[in-house]
Amino acid sequence: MVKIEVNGEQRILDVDPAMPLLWVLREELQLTGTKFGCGVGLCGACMVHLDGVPARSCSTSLAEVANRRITTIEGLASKVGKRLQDAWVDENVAQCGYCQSGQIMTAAALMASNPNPSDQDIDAAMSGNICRCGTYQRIKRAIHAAAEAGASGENVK
Amino acid sequence: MNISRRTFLLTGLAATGSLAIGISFADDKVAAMPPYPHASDTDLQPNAWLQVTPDNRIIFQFHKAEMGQGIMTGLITVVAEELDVEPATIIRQFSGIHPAYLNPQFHLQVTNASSSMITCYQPIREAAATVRMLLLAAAAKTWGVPAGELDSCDGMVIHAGSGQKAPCGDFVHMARSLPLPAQLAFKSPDQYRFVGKFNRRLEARDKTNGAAQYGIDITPAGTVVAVVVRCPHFGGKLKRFDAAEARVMRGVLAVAQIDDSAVAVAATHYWYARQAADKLHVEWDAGVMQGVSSQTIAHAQRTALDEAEAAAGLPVAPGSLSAEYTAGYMAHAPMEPMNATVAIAGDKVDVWVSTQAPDIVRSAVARSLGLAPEKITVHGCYLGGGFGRRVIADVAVDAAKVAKQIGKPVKVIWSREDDLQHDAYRPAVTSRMYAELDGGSVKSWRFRIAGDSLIYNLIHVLRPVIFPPAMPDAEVEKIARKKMETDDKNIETVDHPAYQFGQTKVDQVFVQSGIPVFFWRSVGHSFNTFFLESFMDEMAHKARTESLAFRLKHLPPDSTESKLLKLVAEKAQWGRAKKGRFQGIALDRIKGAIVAMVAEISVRKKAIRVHRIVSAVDAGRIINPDIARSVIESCVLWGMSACLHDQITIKDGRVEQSNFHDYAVARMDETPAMEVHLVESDRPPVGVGECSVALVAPAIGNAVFKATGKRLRSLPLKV
Ligand code: FES
Ligand code: FES
Repeated sequence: MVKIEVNGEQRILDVDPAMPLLWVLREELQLTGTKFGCGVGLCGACMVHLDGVPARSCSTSLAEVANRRITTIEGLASKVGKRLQDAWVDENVAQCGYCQSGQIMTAAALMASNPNPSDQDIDAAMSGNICRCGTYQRIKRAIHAAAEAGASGENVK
Repeated sequence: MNISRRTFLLTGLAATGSLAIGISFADDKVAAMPPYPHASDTDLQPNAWLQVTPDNRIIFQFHKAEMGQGIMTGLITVVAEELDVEPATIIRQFSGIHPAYLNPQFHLQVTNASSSMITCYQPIREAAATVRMLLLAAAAKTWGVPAGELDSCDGMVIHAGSGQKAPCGDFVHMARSLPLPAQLAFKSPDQYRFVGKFNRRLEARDKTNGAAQYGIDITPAGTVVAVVVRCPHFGGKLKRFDAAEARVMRGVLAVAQIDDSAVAVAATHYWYARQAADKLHVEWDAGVMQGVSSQTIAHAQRTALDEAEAAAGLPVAPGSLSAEYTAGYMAHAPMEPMNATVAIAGDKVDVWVSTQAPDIVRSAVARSLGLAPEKITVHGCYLGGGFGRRVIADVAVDAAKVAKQIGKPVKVIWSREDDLQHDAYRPAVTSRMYAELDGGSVKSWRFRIAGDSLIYNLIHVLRPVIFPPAMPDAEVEKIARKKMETDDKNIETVDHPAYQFGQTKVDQVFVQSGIPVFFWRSVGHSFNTFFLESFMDEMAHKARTESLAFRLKHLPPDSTESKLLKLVAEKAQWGRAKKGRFQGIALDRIKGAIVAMVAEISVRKKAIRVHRIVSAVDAGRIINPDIARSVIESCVLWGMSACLHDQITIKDGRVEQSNFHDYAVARMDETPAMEVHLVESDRPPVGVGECSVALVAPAIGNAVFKATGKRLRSLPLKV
């Protein structure tokens, strides 16, 4: 039995502690917003937050997250997160959309520590996330837009 | 439409549009049009796309695959315009399969070849206009006023004269009994509220909060998960396997051989299945492909070209220009790995799969289970990318086989490694070009290409849907080989170049490698546009003419192609790149779209850095301008990713790459500034999902030549 906290809820799990968090979320907890893309830490589709820090859930075992605070895209409730989601919609970022949970989780973690990132900051933080639809230019634009909305104190939609 | 004797046409698959394959459908005896999807006894539903309910809801049956190209929003925008309602108020439903949805280019319900907007624009406008006219006619009858005095807006019918106003839903009951309008009236373009203006992707919110469901996210109750361990050598077989260790591992439910080259491991969770699969001891028979490698394939192509040239015996004028170009295999690698869920209950089968071709899935699953296609229901969902890959039904067949063997609903998930090693690839090809110049103009131009046949492979992919299930393999093979004679995919675009050359001669030889090949975003253009547009610069160089001027010289002066080249040159400040930056230009015409592009690059220590890519695009009437721009950016990134990163290579008849570390793709930090200029056009709309892929490589390659003096003649590009 492993105890974790996901999106503010305590969960007790009876699976192999070596199971990657990705599959625990998707198959035990039906939180399917977190995506499987490569399984080996190369694409970022599976990005979640562990105590606010971005982590690839495909390469993080359940044992490693015992008693830690996990946030998935479904539980992204911070102001920064909401602003990013609004900006994503406004900038027409998502195409197939499959990578975008991971992109937004990575971006939210970036902005939590750096509310007004430069292009270089964005490149450095986001280059672990692959988008096969090639939406990078719009992701960058959306992050800047969310930063501006944050700076001007604009309300989230 | 007469569906009792449908004939499968490959017309749309052929660039010339003249090729009809003429294969009869397997289900030759389908008698009548089945009821429309999600039909009800109370709604107005005069066609397969639209329903209006008595409580005033408008429902759109979405029959295509939404895989990022934005067609869901595009079609609904067209509907919304004719019905005069906000697009977001229209309820979207995945339709499932119905004969009314057959893609007229392919006679299949397939989303491919940038064909959706071209083929659906008019029928969907008509569907919406029909609904509107029926509702107005019913209101006219109810109120006793001429229908011509009525208007509808935002779900209300309005009679300005009397001030009467009522929801459309009020007239549904009467409209159901009215005859279809004899003549349709369409909204005039100067009244448009949404077409050309509406810029919001309708499913955008669901794609930012984790709510959008892809095939991999759908898990009916009681479903178990399986992984498939397949012979890595194409055409190879399973010799024997030992599952003793795997079977006793945690969560494992079953280990079973599912065909002559694969073993499946089913478990309660993906992770358990994968762990157990790693513990299988499998022995493969590599089969006939054992000694086949990328090198032997390229060698065979060169030999075939030598032989074809010798046989043709065409004269080579002194001082003429010739060059050999090549392109490597490429995988599709959509972001959502291949997966499918199949539940069998008696003779009823449900399939959940991200697919571009639900009717291929249906027939393929039916054939594998020995059932009639009508017994199979294929459910709709979003696709995590397609790019041509999801026309193939292989993973759904895997899931059907496992579900049948273990007697439980099963979701098969391929790993990324499975995906890269069991794709059907963009073909590797070798081409040779030859040109004779005369006073700075091309007097004659010859092109010859060698590679695998896409149509041959397509016939095998389509087998379940175009041939009777009992047709022997040998017969299918015979037909597939025969159809190669009409295959013009490997000469796409070069068989009708935009440029006016004195004489042109285009030839091809098929060299069947045994590697599965398939349609990959932009298909034959993906290599031929690189060959032709790079060679254009070679010819320009030889003629001592600047690249843009040389192109313009070979185009009609007031052609769209000329205009776009001039426009893109102006927007990209052609010829005025900063110090250390170099520009290359290219042109393509694909599936009705015409695109000109300028790439601006620099080269440092053999590394190509792309700074800026400017495109000018004529794609007919644009429905959703910003979505079109976003998809064109996607094309550009796809083209750039493919030409600057890894290729798929073959050794011993198997793929050497396995994941994104050795099959790298473009990432954020190498994304250039992209600008897209859409020109006003009065042509009907065309698709943009492939339009700007193929010319990225030659635009970059041409710039690299300016930067380094080195002509790059191989894809991917390496300085
Ligand atoms: S699935 Fe975790 S990084 Fe790709
Ligand atoms: S939107 Fe399709 S992979 Fe990113």
